[in-house]
Amino acid sequence: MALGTRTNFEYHAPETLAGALDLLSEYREDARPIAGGTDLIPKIKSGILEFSHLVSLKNIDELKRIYISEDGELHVGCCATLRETENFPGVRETWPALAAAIHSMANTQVKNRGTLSGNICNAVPSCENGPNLLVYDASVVIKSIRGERIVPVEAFFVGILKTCLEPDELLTEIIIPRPAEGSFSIYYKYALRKALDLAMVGVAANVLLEKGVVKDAKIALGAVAIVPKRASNAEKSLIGKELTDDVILEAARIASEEDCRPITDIRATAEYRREMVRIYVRNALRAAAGREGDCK
Amino acid sequence: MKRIITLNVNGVDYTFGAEPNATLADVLREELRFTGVKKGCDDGECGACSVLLDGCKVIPSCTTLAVEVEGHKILTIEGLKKGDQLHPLQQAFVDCFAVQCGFCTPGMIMCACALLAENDDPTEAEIRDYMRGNICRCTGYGKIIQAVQEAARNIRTAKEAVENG
Amino acid sequence: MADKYRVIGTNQLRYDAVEKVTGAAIYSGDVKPDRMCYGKFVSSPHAHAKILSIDVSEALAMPGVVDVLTGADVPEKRYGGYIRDRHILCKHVVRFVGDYVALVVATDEVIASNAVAKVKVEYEPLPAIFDVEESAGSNPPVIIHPDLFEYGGAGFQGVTEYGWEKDRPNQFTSYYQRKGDIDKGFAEADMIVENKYTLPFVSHCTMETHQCVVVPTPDGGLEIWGSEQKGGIARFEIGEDIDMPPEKIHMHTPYLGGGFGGKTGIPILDVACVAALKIKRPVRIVQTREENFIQGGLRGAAVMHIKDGYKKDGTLVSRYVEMLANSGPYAAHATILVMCAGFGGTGNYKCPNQLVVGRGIYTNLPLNAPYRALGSEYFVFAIERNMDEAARKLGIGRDEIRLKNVLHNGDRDGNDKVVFNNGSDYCLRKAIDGIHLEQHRKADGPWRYGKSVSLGNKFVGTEDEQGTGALCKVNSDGSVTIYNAHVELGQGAKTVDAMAAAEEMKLPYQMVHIVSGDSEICPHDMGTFCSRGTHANGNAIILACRDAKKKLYHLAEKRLKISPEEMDMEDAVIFEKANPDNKMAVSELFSFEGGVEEGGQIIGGATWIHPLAGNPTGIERDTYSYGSWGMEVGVNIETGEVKIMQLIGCYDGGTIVNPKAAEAQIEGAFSMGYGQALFEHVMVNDKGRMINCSFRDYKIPTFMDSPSTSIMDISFVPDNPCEFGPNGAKGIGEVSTVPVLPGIANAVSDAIGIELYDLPFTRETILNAINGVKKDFKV
Repeated sequence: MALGTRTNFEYHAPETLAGALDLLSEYREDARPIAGGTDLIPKIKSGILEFSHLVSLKNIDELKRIYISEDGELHVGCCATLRETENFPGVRETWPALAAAIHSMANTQVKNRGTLSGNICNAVPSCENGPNLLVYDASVVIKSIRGERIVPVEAFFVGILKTCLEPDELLTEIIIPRPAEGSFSIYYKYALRKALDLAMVGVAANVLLEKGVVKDAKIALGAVAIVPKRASNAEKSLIGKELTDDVILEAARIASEEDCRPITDIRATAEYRREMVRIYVRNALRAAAGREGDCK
Repeated sequence: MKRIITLNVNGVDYTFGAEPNATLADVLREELRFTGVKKGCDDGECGACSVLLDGCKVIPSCTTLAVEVEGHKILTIEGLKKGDQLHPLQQAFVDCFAVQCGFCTPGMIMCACALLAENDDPTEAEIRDYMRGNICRCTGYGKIIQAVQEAARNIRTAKEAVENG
Repeated sequence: MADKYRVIGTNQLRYDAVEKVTGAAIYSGDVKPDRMCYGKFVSSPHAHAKILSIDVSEALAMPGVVDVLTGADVPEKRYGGYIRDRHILCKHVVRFVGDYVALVVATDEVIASNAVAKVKVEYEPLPAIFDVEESAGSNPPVIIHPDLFEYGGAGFQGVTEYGWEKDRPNQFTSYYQRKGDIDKGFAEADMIVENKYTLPFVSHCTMETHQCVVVPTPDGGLEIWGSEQKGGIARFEIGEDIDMPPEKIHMHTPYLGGGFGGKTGIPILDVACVAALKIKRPVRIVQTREENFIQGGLRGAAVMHIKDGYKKDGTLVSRYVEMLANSGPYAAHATILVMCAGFGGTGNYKCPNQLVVGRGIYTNLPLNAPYRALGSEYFVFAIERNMDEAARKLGIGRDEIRLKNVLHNGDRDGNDKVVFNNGSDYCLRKAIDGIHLEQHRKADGPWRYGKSVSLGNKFVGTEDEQGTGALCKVNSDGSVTIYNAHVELGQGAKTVDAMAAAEEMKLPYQMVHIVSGDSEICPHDMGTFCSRGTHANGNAIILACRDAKKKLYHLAEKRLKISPEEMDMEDAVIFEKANPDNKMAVSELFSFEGGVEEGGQIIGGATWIHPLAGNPTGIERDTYSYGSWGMEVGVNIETGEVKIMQLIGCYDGGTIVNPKAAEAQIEGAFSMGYGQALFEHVMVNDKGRMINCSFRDYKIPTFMDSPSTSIMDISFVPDNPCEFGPNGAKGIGEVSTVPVLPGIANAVSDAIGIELYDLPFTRETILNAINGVKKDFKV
């Protein structure tokens, strides 16, 4: 039985970011920051995490900010909720894969508390937002009392439930550049149910066509490797080619055979996941080629 | 160690001691005795514990620490009815036979309340999408959708009547 | 029906709806007496093991922990709903992952949970058996209850014979229904269709888990609030289990957050009672969701063997169906399931030669509990699937094969009983006419479309000899209060009861109050399950109301100066039939202080016993309800996804008391059957541990999955009152799911042109079938 010992801790609610970073620096592995808490609180209840200090970010207004900078970058503070992010003016139009990923995950209640940064900090292989942040070349701002560093999302995911964060560090902001003019991006979440389900397979794509020829293609897969990852072999097979259905089917095949390492678990077998990768990479590329209707 | 916190629940301030690891759902049910807040899974997956935060933000109270919302306003199902009149959503759930065992009902109604605050004329697809975090085992969801649409209609009609004097 | 009835057949608003939408409705876990403690279970991590030792010292030392009960604290004697094969807490052996080993009791729920991890139990693992076919044989490698044949029985519902067979040591019950000679029948058949079908373990997923609060009373008794479908009679079982006179147990059954059979004989009650008596303080036990999956009782998995023999023209001449019910390690109510499920096997079709066999088999997989349809769904699934295959092989329509063999009134069924009040034909034809089996939608990208018609049945369990009681108290304003033991699970118990009383008393529905769920004031009833609630309680209420009216008329004699035979009453006014102006209001019988002239109060009471209870002449048959669906589905041959295109459902519930409420039941039942057909199955690892025990991993339909009611056309057989039912009503709580499962299964098979045998038809199952990949289905 999963009953463990509910984690008990001292509760801190600093008023400033500096105050929060001080606490993380003082307590390190024995502390956890909490934003929305929708991943952390179930872990607290089941007792699978051991720590003695909870650092609440609820009073730090600067972390709740979402804005689009002058050069069109989307900045999402680590305490901005998922729904605030999805509904922020401009997000659906400019970053449709991000909006689709957020829309497909969890439910309204959880997304009124949970955050985009919390979702990627949890770093499960099926992380809903991993794939779109990868195809948008997003990066994360990481702060500690020692200073600040900006890390591309690719380097952020290190392993199952593992990120590159040091124990005294806080992910304060996610920066998502504006996609290239004329590019097309999409995200598919495939799961057994249309709600209350982790992605069995997640596919994000960001494709730039020039007169029907692929100038740039980024494809990222979730839930089919230990971290969300780019389907680099499939991408390479597309660059410089006209996006015909043959090219699309070949890229989909490569993605499913060479760019993922799915496992068998209670949701699906590895073979089935591989097949869904093939189908949904195909569907994403057909959508990019303007033929989304063929996919039904 | 318990922390003294104040929560405003259904318009009234309550000050009490809460463990930092206590959930809002447990504090509402056991400490403040708002037993209309139901726990169906206690893990953020079924929506039965849904309450409204600061107006119309529907949140999962079982996956929220009470200390994280200290000082904020919470609305539970017990606070929805004003005076003698049922809230239009409550009335619609009754009229449309959307209630069977009733265990999911408070959470359903609170979530629907939040939905109607954002969208006063939701389609069936919009209702299904917004309320997908609320599970029901008895009804198959059909009459719940009808109830939400009927409540939306009634609220719009009442609003128009007021606006037209 | 407006001309025949005042209230019956109208859509009265649910009696309990306002309470529930305001959060005022009380469920067992909402009750909180002073000084209450919380109980949390220590459970077995092994499927089969000896308990070598239990060290509770570290747990006891934790601040806030009041006690830790173990097997040493519970009676030596075994208990069980039918066969006594279980201890309240395991004493020496654990038999499934989740078996109760100890109960930690603490002043705070989190402290109790935390203390569970501190109880040290030493086990010696034993070999375990999971496969039902292996376990059903004569030489299973593991015998779960070596002393089975010495176990006593509870005698519940008069069942004292279990069909034990000495050469099947893990079979706790068997049941045979024979008609004619199946071998002769098979010899005469032109074609035989023989198959094996499997159904998995499924969970009820009631939104409220099992919950109870037990308070020790000053007289040495107990006061209980429990989510228990048996209601007040649970006192008798508990009293027997813990050696307490049932009269000292006061049982409350407030609202239940769903039941579906799964809360019949909930095991937490006995434990909480022992704990409360020991610590002399109230104890609350509330299952977590995970515990509800693991220990709440599952619908057992089943292996069905079916062999049908047909003539060329589609006439069914011989049928053999055998069910192996994988029931976990304790018989519980699978005992009665095995006996009753077979009725589902014989309930729909004519066949001169039938052998229906049910076997309840022990394994070390999770505990069983009754589940909506009590096994009829096993048989109907196998029969309906097999019938579709037979129709295809014979080259006749799947509608034709059903119409040809369906039972009609006056026919004799598989138990040689005479069929009555059978609306199957109407239901089938409604589905057939609506769905147009012969018209197929064209393929559309990866989507292929298929159709089906299906027929189901479920008997209404009211032919017990104990009867069902009701009281009708007349109030000073002319309203009535009905007291009965009908448990409100969400199905509309209070609503239909209030309607029955309103009809009989000719009162407005709003002038009927219902008091139920209190064993001190509510009369006897066996419990709310088996679709018997409306039927049994409605009849009792009608009789109780008539008794109240007799008393009213007697009191009115002096004032109206006529005999009771000349009186009638309506809207709380008693009047002379021949001269309505000679009348008086019921309220006039009451003095200012609410007393009544003779006797101080007017309370009618009665017990209804089914006229055919005890089967006096040998040919009587249970009352059955029926239902049929015509369905169209689409299957995506790339992903295995299934979508529902069209649904036409028609049910025979006799007189439908409240059409909207009944429609609500059917819609919900459809969702449950749909979940079972495509998504739901308990997954167990090779150590017998359930691994998908959350709403995330055990997949019941959500808002995004269930089909829109806009594609559902639900109707009921009109004008088909059952002579034994209250105003002709039967029961639809269970039959509502029965034809759904095979309907979807048959439509999916039709869409892909491949016969499918193993539920659920998940996407991988469908895709594997299309790709010709053979995958074994275990459990």
